[in-house]
Amino acid sequence: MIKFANVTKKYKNQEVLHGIDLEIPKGKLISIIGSSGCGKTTMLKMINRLVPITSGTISINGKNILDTPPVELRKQIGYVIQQTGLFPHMTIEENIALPMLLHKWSEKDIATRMKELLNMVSLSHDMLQRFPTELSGGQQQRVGVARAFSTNPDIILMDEPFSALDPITRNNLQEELNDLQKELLKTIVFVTHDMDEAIKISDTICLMRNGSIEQFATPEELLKNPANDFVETFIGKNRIWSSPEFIKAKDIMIENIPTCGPKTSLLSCLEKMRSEVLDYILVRNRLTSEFLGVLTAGMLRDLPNYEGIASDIMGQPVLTLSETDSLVEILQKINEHNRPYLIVLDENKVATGIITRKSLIAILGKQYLSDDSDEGMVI
Amino acid sequence: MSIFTYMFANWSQVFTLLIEHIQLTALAVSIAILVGVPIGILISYKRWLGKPVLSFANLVQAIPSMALLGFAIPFFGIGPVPAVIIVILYSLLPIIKNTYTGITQISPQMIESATGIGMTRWQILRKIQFPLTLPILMAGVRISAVTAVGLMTIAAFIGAGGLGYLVFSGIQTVNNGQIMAGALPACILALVLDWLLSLVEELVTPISLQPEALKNRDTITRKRKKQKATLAVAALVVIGLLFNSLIGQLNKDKNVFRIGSKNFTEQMILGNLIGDLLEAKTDLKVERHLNLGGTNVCFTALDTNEIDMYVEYTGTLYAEVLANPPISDVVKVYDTSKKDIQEKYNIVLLKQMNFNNGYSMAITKSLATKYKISKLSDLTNSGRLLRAGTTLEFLNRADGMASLEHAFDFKFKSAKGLDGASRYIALESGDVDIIDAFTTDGLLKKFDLVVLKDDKNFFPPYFAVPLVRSDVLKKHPEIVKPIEELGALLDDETMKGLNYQVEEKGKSPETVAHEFLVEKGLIEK
Repeated sequence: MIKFANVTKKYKNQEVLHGIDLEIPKGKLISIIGSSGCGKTTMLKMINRLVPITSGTISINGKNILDTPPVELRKQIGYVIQQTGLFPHMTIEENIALPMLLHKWSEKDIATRMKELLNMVSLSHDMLQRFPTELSGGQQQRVGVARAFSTNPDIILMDEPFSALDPITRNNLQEELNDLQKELLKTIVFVTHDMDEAIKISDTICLMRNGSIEQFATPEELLKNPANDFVETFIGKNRIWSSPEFIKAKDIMIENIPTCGPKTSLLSCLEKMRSEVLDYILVRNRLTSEFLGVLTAGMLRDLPNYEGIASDIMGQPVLTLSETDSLVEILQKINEHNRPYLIVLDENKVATGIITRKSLIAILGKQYLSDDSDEGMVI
Repeated sequence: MSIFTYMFANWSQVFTLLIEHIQLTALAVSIAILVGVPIGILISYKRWLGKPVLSFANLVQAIPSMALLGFAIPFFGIGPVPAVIIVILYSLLPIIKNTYTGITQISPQMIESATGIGMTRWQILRKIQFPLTLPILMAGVRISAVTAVGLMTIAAFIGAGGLGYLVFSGIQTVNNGQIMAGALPACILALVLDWLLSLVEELVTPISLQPEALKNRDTITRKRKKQKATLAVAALVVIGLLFNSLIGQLNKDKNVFRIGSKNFTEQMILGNLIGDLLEAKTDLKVERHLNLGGTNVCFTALDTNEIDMYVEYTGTLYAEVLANPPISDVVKVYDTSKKDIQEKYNIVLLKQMNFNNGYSMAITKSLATKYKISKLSDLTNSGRLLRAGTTLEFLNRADGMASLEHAFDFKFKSAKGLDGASRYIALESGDVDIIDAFTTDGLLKKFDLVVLKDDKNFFPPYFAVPLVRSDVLKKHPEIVKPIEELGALLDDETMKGLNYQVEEKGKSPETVAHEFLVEKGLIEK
């Protein structure tokens, strides 16, 4: 675990980081994001002491980093930067082997590890004798990643490693990094200015502005509940639509639906629907609130009279949604089973809302129509 | 004499001098690299040092090499040491500058990346900065080395040898073949060195930084092997030469007697005469430091134990070294000089030789007729019409130009300093009208000039007189007799004749000296 405790940084008289407190849990990928000059790279470079701390402490697993000599500290931490990180006069093999040589590994160990690393970052063996300039940007960055992972450090720092790559290559590398991280459970601190990238790969995002942390939260939390206007503007108003997996049933369902008990008379059910201008009503257990069934206007229309109670004729849909189902799953279910609506249940089988085709259209339409409605995460 | 005739006749001398030249240059450039590269690295770390250091190196480069040589003599004496030191000073700038540029042009991100993966400063320097700087550094070394070859010709001026010896001697004696025999090998040496270093430069440039090379890896690998072999051979040769000279230095014989001479024909003949004679008549091993330069250089060399003797002229000692106002009294000049020099410098004047190589003024026959000039006093009337071209020494010394103009109450139309034999050429080509000449100068005969008669006893006596340091004389008293015998044989005419043989007939001073001694029965053939 990397812990920032009231860390500040001053250049001359200008304070560029103001009392940062941050805990980066072990085995997680944390992105530090913000526009240029916000102090994100400074924060990263403080961890391996490339930038000295003005005040406050940074500790790794409880040990102040100042207690380890810089060279030793850096040897224990992988470091990947944008493009220029490879040494042009060394072959790929020499570049990757460098940290292992610094750790005085034997030639045999290096050779064994080299093979693993090549597999890990999907580089072919005949690349080893080439020089960095002979490789594409994506390949170079794979080499950079291989080098950072070579001595198997617990912590890896990455400073905008993918920002100069074309979108397709970047996408591939992001996915591979994600897989690597999940598999090897490294603590990765990843600096980026690309929100899509941060959302895609991070366990937690640390959003910075002018040397302070604006919000430290999971991507989902950040998208749904921006801490303030700045965060919201930074991530972009409709950002969530490019990450539909973060849009959950709970966020878009219609709440406050009319309910009735199983013993409620059909007539009063009809009255309720009319007064609410809805063509359905939920039937639930009065005591436990457990969802029992649905009564729709269609069902009532075919009846000769309205004598009887709700439980006599209510439908019992087998297909329901849970609150955490994402927008993608909802759309799949509605389409596959050709349902006009789906009931959303919480973990206690209590119906908390409903999603209908009509409401879905309204929700999805929002991203294209300027919102003169309410502000915020308004789904 | 054409260069080929000269080279053919003197090939072993040319070769020896070439080897000497290579040794001196290699030594100077090696030391310049050993000094310059660390300085370049240092100022790339301590940027504030960069400006003063580079300014200083620039300044040194701006000082004329001859001037620097002048400064160096009091500190380092004469011979290879000051020559090498001066060439080092000149070679430093490109090496320091290119090292500095090479290191500072490496992107800071790359250095940060190296730091970030846990390399120490030293490791970064050795594995990242130095390899990436090497190509630029080598370009600097190349510039230095080629310049050094040329510059090293000045070494001859202070008796360090090298090809400059031939160039200087050739200029002295108006022997174009000899000048070329020195200049051409120096030229070729510079070109060969440039080529060899270009191979090094190419070799140290990482393949990855040569886009052409990357396309043909196999070809380049083979080519590199060949280049390495060539360089290995060249390196072995140079190391061999350096080693050889080092051994030579260590084996310095205690019984060595070092003769110096100034940088004109007569002096070189005298040096060889005495050298040959002492070799024949004593057990001493003679070392010749001929062609050293002017009075200052030689006298300082003698005083600082760089040489053991050389032949000076009484008038020069009296007026120049002892700074007395010039007089014409032969006896007084000798006696005063002998006494004062002994007291001041602990240097002994042997008996003066039988010839007077004083100053005189010379003019072409046609001008002599045109202006009706035949003696010095004629200058009072016609001097102002003449453009003078004299040695720098004459131009500056108290009993020289100023005194002449004062004594005869005139002023030359113009006066410029020319060195050695170039005065005669300037006179013949009509660039100047009158020159100073030494009375025993063989060139007077060669160019068939009119020597103005010293009708007012204006010029002080300049009898040749061997100077020996007292301690040397005490150790080797046996040298006195042969030298005095020789001195008695050399009168004005004889000396002029010997000079003429070198200057007109194109014989070497060594040959002329040897032949003379044999002819007089002083040594055996």
